[in-house]
Amino acid sequence: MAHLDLIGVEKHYGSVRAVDRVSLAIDQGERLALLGPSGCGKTTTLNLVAGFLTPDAGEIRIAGKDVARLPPHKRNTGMVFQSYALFPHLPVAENVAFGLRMRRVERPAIARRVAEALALVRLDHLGARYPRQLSGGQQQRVALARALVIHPEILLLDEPLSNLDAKLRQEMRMELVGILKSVGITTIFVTHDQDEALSLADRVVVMNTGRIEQAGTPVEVYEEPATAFVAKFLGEPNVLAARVASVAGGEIACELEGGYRVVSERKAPVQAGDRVEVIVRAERVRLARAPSGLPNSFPARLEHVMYLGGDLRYLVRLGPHRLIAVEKNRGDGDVPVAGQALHVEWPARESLVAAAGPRP
Amino acid sequence: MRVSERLAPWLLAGPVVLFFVVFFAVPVALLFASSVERVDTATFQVIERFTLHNYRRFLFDRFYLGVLGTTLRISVLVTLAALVTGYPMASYLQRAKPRERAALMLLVVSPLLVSLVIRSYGWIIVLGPLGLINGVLSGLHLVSAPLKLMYTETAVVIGLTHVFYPFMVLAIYSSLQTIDPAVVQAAQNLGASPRMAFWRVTLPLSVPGIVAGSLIVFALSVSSFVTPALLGGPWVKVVAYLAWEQNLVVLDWPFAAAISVILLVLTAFVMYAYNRFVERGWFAGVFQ
Repeated sequence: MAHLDLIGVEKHYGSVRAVDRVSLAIDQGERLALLGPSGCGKTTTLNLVAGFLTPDAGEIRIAGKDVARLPPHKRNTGMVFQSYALFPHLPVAENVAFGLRMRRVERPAIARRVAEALALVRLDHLGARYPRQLSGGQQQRVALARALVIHPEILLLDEPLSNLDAKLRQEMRMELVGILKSVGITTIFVTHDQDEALSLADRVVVMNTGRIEQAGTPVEVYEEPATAFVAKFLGEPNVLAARVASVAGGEIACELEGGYRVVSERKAPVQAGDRVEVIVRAERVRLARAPSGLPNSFPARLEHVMYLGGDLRYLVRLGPHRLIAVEKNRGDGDVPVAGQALHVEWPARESLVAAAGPRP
Repeated sequence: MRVSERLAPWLLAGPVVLFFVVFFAVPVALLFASSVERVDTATFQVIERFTLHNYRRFLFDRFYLGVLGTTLRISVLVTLAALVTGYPMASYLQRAKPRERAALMLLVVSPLLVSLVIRSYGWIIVLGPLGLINGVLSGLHLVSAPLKLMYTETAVVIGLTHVFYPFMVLAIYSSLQTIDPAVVQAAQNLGASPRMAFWRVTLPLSVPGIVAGSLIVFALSVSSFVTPALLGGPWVKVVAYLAWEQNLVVLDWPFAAAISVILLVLTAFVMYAYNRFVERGWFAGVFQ
């Protein structure tokens, strides 16, 4: 039995289905990321689990017990809010103690558990401070300690790192994954940041317009996107409008405007003549001075080079099409220059073919 | 740039500061100066330049101290009544839908839109011996003789609460507005029932609004004059009324000045003590 079960959960706002028949089973100790653009229903789903919202249909089971109609204070979930939502009128130690006091834990046990929780997030020396005297990263850790100290069934994190600056976010990401692993708690977190989802989660659920597009390991959703939406939402996609020329022997050949012929080895429910989009991730596109024999290899002209320090981004023109290619800057000095003629290439398994649809 | 930066404080705050100095600070200083003089009430000649006679006269007299007591009692009751009725209203306003909120807000501030005198006469119609309440009660044969509602402290408290209620509601409402809804959700998530979340989180965080509202209502009540005069009549005297009487009827200006100073100092002290008590007390964290 899964630790948390969502079964056909729906939440409507008027005619809008914010959450549309979402079913998920999350195992004990699993870290699950709900990933998607804003308005995709991920935060609504989190609030349904926490009990701040009641589903219009479906079941939410925690450890087998249906909690869909229980108020938040009877659900035993621990939530870290995007704004941290620390109690500004209470010192850090009292913030952490709050849930234990509500549970009528005895005083000595409260003191011990608060100290442990603060030690876990390395803030044992700041218990007497007030939240506004702490930095963003410290507030974040207090919020985590406050949610963990009550030993909740499920830990819920709402955009846990989005309020931190880029450098601190990297550090906190490492620290957070360490803490979550050491505690071994079942965790759902909501994020619109794919790096966060891919690096923190055992399983990533990509959501769009209230529905689950794909659920799988980080490698699965990135390397084997189930839908065009997932392919375009993750990574940095190049999307090329095309028409299917032929489908034969596990190979789809597509014709792009300007007579370019792109080959894909991926399965797709398309047939000759369909209007499709060919999606290729930017970091899978290679630049070469001469064709190296890959099936997708096209003469092109380098329009612009963007120097990003660690990365180099190339804007390449291919007839009427534009492609972005990203390479690591290895510092070996062989950087092509704008205006240069070269070849863009990618393996057949890197072109994903999908029925033409909207961009995310 | 430099010059304009140096001029900025004067240009921005200067006019108001000037106005307050000329029309508030100077008169108050004159009030203090006048309060230590003594005049012969028959001839209106100043017979002593520096004396505490007026203060002694007030502070060692049962009648005057009684009036002071009445004033403070009325003001505390008005503040409490406004707080107890205003908090739920502010709380509701905060969660009401925009249209409903606008309508209720208009209702709440409506006492401020009507002239003081008209509003007081309205209460006379309601509370008088032949008024609405007594009419209903005697019509239903619940009372044999009309209840004495007019010209009582109760009437004054009701009338003042009605006028000053908006200040309390608006002060509390604006402090409730500043509370991050997620903070209340966090309390519930950690196991607090809605009632517990209110007592442990919402209420403490709205204390600044309670303090501000209480101070405004108390200060306005203590110095109120027209409403007590109209609804309390000659039987409910307040300090402001005494000062007026000494000033314009008895023409003992120095004594009137001393009464005003006593009221001013006392009010300032009460407000300071209250503020201190709350800020240093249970809710220190709120004011960090």
